[in-house]
Amino acid sequence: MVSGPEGATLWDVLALDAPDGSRLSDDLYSLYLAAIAWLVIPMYASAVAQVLPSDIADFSRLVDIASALALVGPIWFGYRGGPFLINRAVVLHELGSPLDPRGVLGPRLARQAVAYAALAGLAANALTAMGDPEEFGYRLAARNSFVAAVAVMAAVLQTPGWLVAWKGRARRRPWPAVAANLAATAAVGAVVATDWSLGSPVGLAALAAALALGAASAWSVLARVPVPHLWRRATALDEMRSAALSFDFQRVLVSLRRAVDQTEAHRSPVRLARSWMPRSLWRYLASVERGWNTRVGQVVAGAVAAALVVRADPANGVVALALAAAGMMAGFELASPIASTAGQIWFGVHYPRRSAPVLRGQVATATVIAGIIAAAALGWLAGSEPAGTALASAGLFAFGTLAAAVQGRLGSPDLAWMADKLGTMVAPALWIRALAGPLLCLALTVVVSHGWLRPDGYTPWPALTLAVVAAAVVVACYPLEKSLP
Amino acid sequence: MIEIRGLQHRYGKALALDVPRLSIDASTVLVGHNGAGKSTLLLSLAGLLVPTDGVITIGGDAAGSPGARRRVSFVPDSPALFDDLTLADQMRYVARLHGGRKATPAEAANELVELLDATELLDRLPSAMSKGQRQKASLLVATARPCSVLLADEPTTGLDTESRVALLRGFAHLEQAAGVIIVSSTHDGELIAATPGRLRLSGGRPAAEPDPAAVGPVAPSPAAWSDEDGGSDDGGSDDEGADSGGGHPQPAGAAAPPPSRWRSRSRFSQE
Repeated sequence: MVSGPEGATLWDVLALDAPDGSRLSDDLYSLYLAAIAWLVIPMYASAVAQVLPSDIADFSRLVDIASALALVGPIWFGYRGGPFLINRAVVLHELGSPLDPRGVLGPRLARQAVAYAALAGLAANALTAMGDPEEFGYRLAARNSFVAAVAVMAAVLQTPGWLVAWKGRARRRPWPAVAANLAATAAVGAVVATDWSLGSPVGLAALAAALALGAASAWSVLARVPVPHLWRRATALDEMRSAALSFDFQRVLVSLRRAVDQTEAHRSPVRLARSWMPRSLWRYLASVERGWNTRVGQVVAGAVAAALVVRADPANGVVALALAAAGMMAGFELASPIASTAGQIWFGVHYPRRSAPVLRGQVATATVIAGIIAAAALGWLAGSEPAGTALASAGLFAFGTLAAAVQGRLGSPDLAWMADKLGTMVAPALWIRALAGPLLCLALTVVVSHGWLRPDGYTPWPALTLAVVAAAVVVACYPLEKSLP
Repeated sequence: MIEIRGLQHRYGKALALDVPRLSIDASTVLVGHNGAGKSTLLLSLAGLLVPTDGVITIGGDAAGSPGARRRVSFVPDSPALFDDLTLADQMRYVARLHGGRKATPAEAANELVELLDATELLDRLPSAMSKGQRQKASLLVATARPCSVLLADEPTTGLDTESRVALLRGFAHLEQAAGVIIVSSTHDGELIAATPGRLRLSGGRPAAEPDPAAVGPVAPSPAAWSDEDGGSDDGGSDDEGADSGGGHPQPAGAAAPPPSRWRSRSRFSQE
């Protein structure tokens, strides 16, 4: 039991009429929905498996590797500000009370960990089901989901440690302990990535160790989470809710000025394009400033994508998806300067009234970019190259870029999530738009993998394919505000 | 009660606060232009901002430590309320957080409800309150639990004249009945006039009060009026460039402060 300096305990917190008290039933209902989704998802994912060249062993391995990588995710999320999205009232009144901070933050952290773990379990299930449907079974899906869920839960529990290390007071930063924890976690991750799929007891022990490390880390540092940092973040979140984003009359309004002055909680180092550039097409391709960490990520992603294009076999479903994902990142890079030139957050959705000239410029530019990419990709594929060659890899990469260039104009799941959580009812329209890009990317990956876009008579449904792409583009570019009251 | 030694805070390279030595043991109002460092000082006292350098102790405990945070209650410039609790529930909840399951809101807070004419707000959620009402609610929630120091960042912002007067009465009541030391920042002439303990900040540093006798009967410029009356002093945006130094004439309509020099040891005289 958590005990505060004046005898207040965790039970005292739970026994109060806490503002979060009513969330328990909501959380249980969400878990129930997740369980239902877990049972249903394979039916949809197996449809992808029918058309994507897949091997279930490859996808299982992908889950293992992703789970291992998730264990080092807290380094980044701790740097970005940690897992606590608490408001200023909680910081002022709950953390300012005699209660032990572990009693205040612990339940919130546990809630976050369970939520992310449930999400990871669902994703692992979907990935597994994308493998060969002949070999798919719920037993295997459960195993993979368990691995992913435990790894992500351990990762979330580790995040406060990194938050304290990055943002805590200088003389109190627990770097040695955190570094030791990282080393242990990396070792655990390596075991998970190599052994778990064999079902060895070592893998199970490694997962248990990861969870224990996370719990121990959280327990030891929660009392030292820097309150000033939580206050700044909560203030930024409140400002975002009240000023940067205003959810009014079912509209998402992203303040144009905020594109260069975002609050800390959602800061992105995107700057406006150079104002001195001529008003031409190339103005939309003006440089976008990014932080060093983003640059490192870009270099790594680019290197991986290049290696995949040159070395990997796109006939493998995992490789095909990886290529498409890498392509999407490149597409975001293309789309972001366009949005920032218009003064928007690059992943944002906003076409203010009387913004038709801006919109036309964006759409024209995006179309030109996408057209060039598509022409190049089609040119390669028109050479009757069979799927599985490097050129087909390039085609996959290019179509991922195409999809993301469209997606980047639309809004992302991040924003849809924010709207869903903070706003009133924008979610359905926004979710459709946000998911259009990934769905388009996935569809094109399947199409390219099978060579269905080759103009040599092999294409089975050219009209349908074109219709899907056209519909996605229309959905992508349609001004949202005009369709909502 | 509050001791400050060598306090400095910088936003990037800009020096926002530089208070070499200061003791506050009675209610004090912080005055100064936008960017003078008032909000930064209040946030530092509340333990919600880690200063670049220096030491602050409140009742012997370092600012931000559990002991100091228990002594200090803070009313931020924009209300910090629980979205899904009525005002009455918020006051009860905060009282219980500090006093245990059976605790009730402090008596001073209940009296403040009457003084601020906020009875009708008790059953409302924050979403059903106006900006000024939320400001009142924020103050009431902050006073619902026992504290010896109340920090208030621009507490009169958004309040109508009647509410401002009521707030001043409420502050006086808190000081006299509950012995609370109130440290507030404001551009409000009435609050300034009603609080004899005064600390003028300029460029983040304590500055001398303008002496009307020395300055002479200078008519305030429109710019000076708007600067004095408008805007809020956000601690995150304090900068040196906003300062124009001391000696700024008071608006003619506002109650003029007594022509005293700033004293390093602020005293509140009971009236």
